[in-house]
Formats: sequence, structure tokens, C-alpha cells
Amino acid sequence: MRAMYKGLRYFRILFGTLFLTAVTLVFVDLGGRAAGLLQPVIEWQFVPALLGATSGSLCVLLLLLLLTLAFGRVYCSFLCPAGIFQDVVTRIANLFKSRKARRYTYAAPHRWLRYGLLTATLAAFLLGETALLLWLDPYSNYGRMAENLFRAGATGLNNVGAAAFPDTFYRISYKTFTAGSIAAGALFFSVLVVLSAWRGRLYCNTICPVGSLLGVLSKYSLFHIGISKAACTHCRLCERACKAQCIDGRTEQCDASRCVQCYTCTTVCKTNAIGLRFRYASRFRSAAVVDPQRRRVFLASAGLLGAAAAARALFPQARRLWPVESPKAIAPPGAQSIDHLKQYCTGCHACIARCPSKVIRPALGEYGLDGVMMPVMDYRYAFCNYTCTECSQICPNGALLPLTEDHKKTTQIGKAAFKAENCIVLLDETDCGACDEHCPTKAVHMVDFRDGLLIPEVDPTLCIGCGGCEYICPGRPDKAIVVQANPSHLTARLPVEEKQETIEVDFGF
Amino acid sequence: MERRNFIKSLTLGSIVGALGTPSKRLFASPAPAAADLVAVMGGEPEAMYSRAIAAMGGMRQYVKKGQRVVIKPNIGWDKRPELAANTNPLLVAAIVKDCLAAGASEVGVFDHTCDTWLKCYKNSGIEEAVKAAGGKMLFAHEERYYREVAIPNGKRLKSAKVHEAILDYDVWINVPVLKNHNGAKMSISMKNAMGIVWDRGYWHANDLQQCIADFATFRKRPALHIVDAYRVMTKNGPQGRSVNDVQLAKALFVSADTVAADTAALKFFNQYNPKMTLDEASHIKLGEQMKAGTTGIDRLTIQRIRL
Repeated sequence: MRAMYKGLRYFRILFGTLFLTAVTLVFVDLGGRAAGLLQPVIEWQFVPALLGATSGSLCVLLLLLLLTLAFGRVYCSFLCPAGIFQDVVTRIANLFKSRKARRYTYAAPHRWLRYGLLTATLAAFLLGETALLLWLDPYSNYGRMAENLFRAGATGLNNVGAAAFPDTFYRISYKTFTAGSIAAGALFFSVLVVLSAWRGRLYCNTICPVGSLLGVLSKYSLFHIGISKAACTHCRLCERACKAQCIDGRTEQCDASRCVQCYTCTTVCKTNAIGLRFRYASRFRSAAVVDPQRRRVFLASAGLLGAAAAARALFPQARRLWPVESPKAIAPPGAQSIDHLKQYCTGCHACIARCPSKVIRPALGEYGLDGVMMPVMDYRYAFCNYTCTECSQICPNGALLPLTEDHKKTTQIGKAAFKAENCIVLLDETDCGACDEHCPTKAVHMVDFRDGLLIPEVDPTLCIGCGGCEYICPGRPDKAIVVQANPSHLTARLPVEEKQETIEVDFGF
Repeated sequence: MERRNFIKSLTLGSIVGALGTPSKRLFASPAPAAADLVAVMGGEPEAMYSRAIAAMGGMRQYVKKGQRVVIKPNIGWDKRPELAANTNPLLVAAIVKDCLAAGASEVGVFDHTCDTWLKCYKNSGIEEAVKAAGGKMLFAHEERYYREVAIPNGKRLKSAKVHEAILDYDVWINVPVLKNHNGAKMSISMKNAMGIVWDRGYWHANDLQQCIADFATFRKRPALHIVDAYRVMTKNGPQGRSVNDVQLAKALFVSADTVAADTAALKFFNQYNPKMTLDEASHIKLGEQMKAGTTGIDRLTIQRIRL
């Protein structure tokens, strides 16, 4: 039996390491080559599967739920990048700890905190806000951490390589990183490192809403970790090895709602007393212990969720807690509307990592407080490539819905507005035309001004808001052409093409 | 004494002069080309190029054994070759091969693109064509690949950050595509040179036409301007919207004089758009005023070749 459990544990470590590497590569992939291939790994994340259930990931969600109902929280040890990352940290931290300090002891559950956070997250979600989920979901936080910290590190390494081998490696700009999102990534990184080095899976068992939700299901899973009373010698080796701190050696109980199925306990037991058990076999069924606190937590949660659902049903229009008026709140193509984005996006930054022109950046105030860290178009350093649809293809949440190239070319995320008073042509009476040059649809085009000079004019029905004109406009300090957000994306008119007759020509001189 | 000295110096001078003249012709500058300007019509890009370069005296006139050559096509846009926003990849590949055949030790190709550079290099077909021909693509997407140079003869443009390959390689060859341009009116060889510069916003903000002309006086001149007019974008330039902006013209113009090359190409283009004249695309005439070349192509030796 122990050999089997050891095998299972090694399989978990190998699988988890590979999976963590794959997820990390999706965010760190500098050349944009691996991301497309590895993209499926982020579709196996719980929150994206839940949010994307209406846009294609229902099967994944059901499979994840069935997996949990069969084996408990295996998701947390095999598929959750933040979970696996914590195991890595724990392992490294153990190198610096004394044998004694490495021992864990059973800890009582923090029910109010766990289920309070879960309920609040679900309630906000029911009200159409992903803001809480954005800050608590382990996948999205891990994504932000990988995108902002690991990709920055990889960029630095790449640039060292580019300095050493300038013909082989190209330099990558650091301009694509923003202080705000680096801070957000660093915050989560610090929390994870401190908590996991100190007390193993503390984050997963107190803060993580996914852990709490899967924990509730795990109480009813077919298989769970159980202790045979007959074989147990109360040596508490299993308790000491449990990084979830959920095994109570005195009562011979393993709290299934907190157990992350790491199988370490099963490999340390000398008497084979602890192992996977079929929950519904009468031999191992323990008498249900009714805990009055559990009941209170459950009732409070149910009440809050009911209230949220009722509020959503009664006031479907009023769910925006912070209405957005900013003309800078330009959501990436595929986002449909700011409302849609806020309902589905958890700010994992997969789109930001993937964007080839790096025009997508994490929002700070653009969408209001509940949209911080969501992707926003920033035309200061780049503009959106006309035929590119990569961000819409990678989003695992369905916050950015997939676009075809043709669809993208008419998706109007904003409209260019021309301010003649800042235009070089008017101010200096010299040719410019940089905006027209960058306009792929000719929504911005040059018309006669005076003395052979041309000045831009905008046809908003053709404009898709790609920001090429705004990015390139040399007007300083104020640009002469600026894209204004469409809070709900519209459809631009397809340019009418005049077929050009073939003209017969000679040298001409 | 005076007369003897005079005769001495005369003799010495003659000897130096006699030695000096052929040596100058052999090493300092190439032998005069067969033509000042070559125009070819009616063939595929490679065929037109090989006829044109032969008429210009062959690539060995311009590239010596062991020299490093940098080619600057237009790769500004994430567009397929059929849309004619970028230089024809077949032409670029033919030039790369020819330079290597002439003994070039290395041929690099780059552009400071407008669209995302990786997509431009790839979708223009130029990266693939250049690599297959034995050349290499150079990086040009970051400011650190550029170095500040003075433009002492410029009126508005006194300095610019120029790509290091232009400064460090021995020879540079300018390979624009002929197209309409709503900012500069036309984009030919003078405008194409803007793509070796980092801060182009300055040009737009400080009299674009004059800056283009000013930059044509930059000390390091291209050995050749090879104007691709196989497909010509006649409107909605420089990016174009669809194949409806493009005429299949099957032409090529080559000159060592940027103003002459642009004048010839503009006169050719004028047949598609009669409104487009030298007065319209004013940087060409300004280039002549800045002594970067001549618009008086009638006074040049022109070879017209029909395939």
C-alpha cells in the first residue's frame, strides 16, 4: 500500500511541476510561440471554467466538479498554479528550517473567514461584479504574478542575452510593465510566500474562495483520506506531515474540506492506518458530529446569497457599483462592453501577456474601483494591430469572446475624435498626415485644407478605435486626435471598395 | 634656379598626377556607370532587377569583396505582398543574392516598422525571402539600435538617430516601394530613408517635407536606390486598404541619385494620378535645393528597357 501511495505522491509532484511550468510559460512566453500551444492549461482553471461556462467551458467545469466529487480537492494539488507554487515555496522554506520547525500541527478551521469570503465573493458575482474574485482567485492572482514579476524577470534575462548576442536575441522593452500591476503581482507573491513558508496551505484553507467551494463539495466526495482506528497507533506522523493542517491525530479525523489530496500523510504512516477510503462504505463511516457553528455559518451564507440573488433579479440595471464615464476606458476587442468585462474578467493578464503590440495594459482607475487590473487599451506606447485577434483567442473566462479577423476589422471599441486646434497642419501649415498614415480603415483621411496642404478628417462610422492615429500623432503637449471609448462596443461600417480599372502606362518620362 | 625648380615641380606634379588619376579611378570611386538612371518595364521583379543592375554596371560596381551590405526595403506594414504596402519580397531576395554573389561578406535587411515589427517582417514575406537568399534580418524595434548623427546641411532637421547598421556597414542600398502617401504625398526613395531613423514624430511635427529633404543630405548615402514598382499603391497610401488600391505596374527604377530616382518614379506614377506632380510631393524639389540630387532627369543618361 505504501508503495502505491508513494507512487501517487510522486505522480502528483511530477504532474504538478509540469502543469505549473506550462501555466507559467503561457504568461512568460516572450516570443509568443509557446502560448498558443500551451493555452489549454489555463482553460482547466476553476474560475475561468466557471465564468466561461456560458461561452464554451461548461464541460471543463462539470469535469472539475465531478473530479472533486470523486476524489476531493485534487484540483488544488494538481491543477492550481498558486497551490503548486506554494508547495514549491514550502519545500524551499523547509531547507532552511530545523527538523522540529518543519512539523505541522492540526489547526482548527477558520469557518467564518473561509465561508465569509466565499459568500461575499459569490454574492458580488451574483450582483455582476468579479472584483472580489479578481483579488482572491488563485489562478488570476498567479497569472498577474507570472505576467508582472516572472515575465519582467524573463525580459531582464533576455536583455542580458541580447547584450551578449545582439544578432541572435532581440531586446524587449520594459515599457510594457506598469508599476500598479507589478505592485499587485508583488503583493500576492509576498502573501503566498509568507503564508506557505510559515504554515503550508494556509491561503488555500482560509482565504481562497475556490478552495472553500471545492472544500464544501469534498465533504461528500466518493473517496477521501481516512484513518483506520484499529491500525492507528496515534504516533501523529501524518499530522506532522500535513501542510493543510487538517489531520487531527487525537480524534483520528481528516477534515476533507481542507485536505488538498497531496497524499504525503499516506506515505509517512508506518502502519498503513491512513489512506484513501470510500466514503460511503459503512465500515469507515463515522458518526456525524453536529457543530452549531457550522450551522450558523451556513445559514448566514445562504441568507446573504439569497439577498444578492434577489437584488440582482429585482434591479438588473443597477448592478454597476461604480459607473464608468472615463473616455479612456477602452476595453479590448472581444470584450463586448465594459459591463460584460466586469462580469467575466478576473484580471489574470493572459491577454496582456499575449498581446503582440503590448497595447493592452492593466487598468488602474479607468474602469472605476471594481475594474482595477482589468485589461484596458493604452495608446501611449502602441496601438492595436488591425488583423490581430490574439487577446480574444486566449481569454479563458469568456471576458473577451473570440473574434474572427473579419469580425475584428469592424469591431468598434471607440471612436477617434479630431481636435484641429492641436493639429500640426493648422498650427505650422506644414504637411503631416501621420494619423492618416496609421489608419487601416481610412476613417481618418486627408482632405484639402489650403495651398495644397491636407488636413485630417474623421468618419466615425468607419473608425474601429485601434488608436493608430492617437499613438502616432506628433502633437505636443496635447494630441490632435484621441480615441474616445465606446462603453458598449459597436459595429463599424465596412469600407466601400471602388474597383480600380487597370490603367495602361508607359515610362512616363 | 627658378626655372629649374619650376620644371622640377612640373615634372613631379605630372608624375604624381599621372599616378594619382588612375589610382583614384581604380580604388576611390567606382568606374562611371553605364547609365545614370535605368527604367525597366514589363517583367517579373527578379528579371527586371537583373536587367537594371546590368545596365547600371553590375553589382560589383557598388559592392566590393568582403564588404558588409545593409538593404533597407519598406517593411512598414503588417500587409501581404499583394497589397503593395511593402517592397516586393522577390526583389529584396534578388538583391540579397546579387550582393552575396558580388562578394559581400554579410547582407543585413531591416526597417523601423510602423505596425508590430515581428508581424511586418513575417507577413510582408521579406523575412522568409531574405533568409532563403542567405541574408539576415536585423532588429530595429528599439531605440538602442539607433545612434545620434548630425545633419549639418539640414534646414529643419539638424540631427537624427540612425540605425547602427547604416552607420557601421560598408554599403547601404535603399529599396523603396513606389506608393501614394497622404502625409508626404509620395513615398519613394527619399521617404523610404525615413525608415532608418528612430524619432520620426519630430519630422512630422517640424515640416515633414523639409525634413525628408534635409535627411537626403546625410553624409552616408545609399550606393543605389532601387525603386520597386511591380505593384503600385495608387491611393490610400502608405498603408492602403485593399487590393483595390493597387495597380500591377511591373516597373523598376534604379539610380544612385535619390532625387533623380524619385523624379522618374513620380513621373511614372503621374500616369495613374495626373494630379501628382513634383510641386505636390514637394520634398523631391526641396531635395534638389538641398543639393541631394537633380530633378532634371532629361539631362541624365537614361536607359529604358522593355521586357
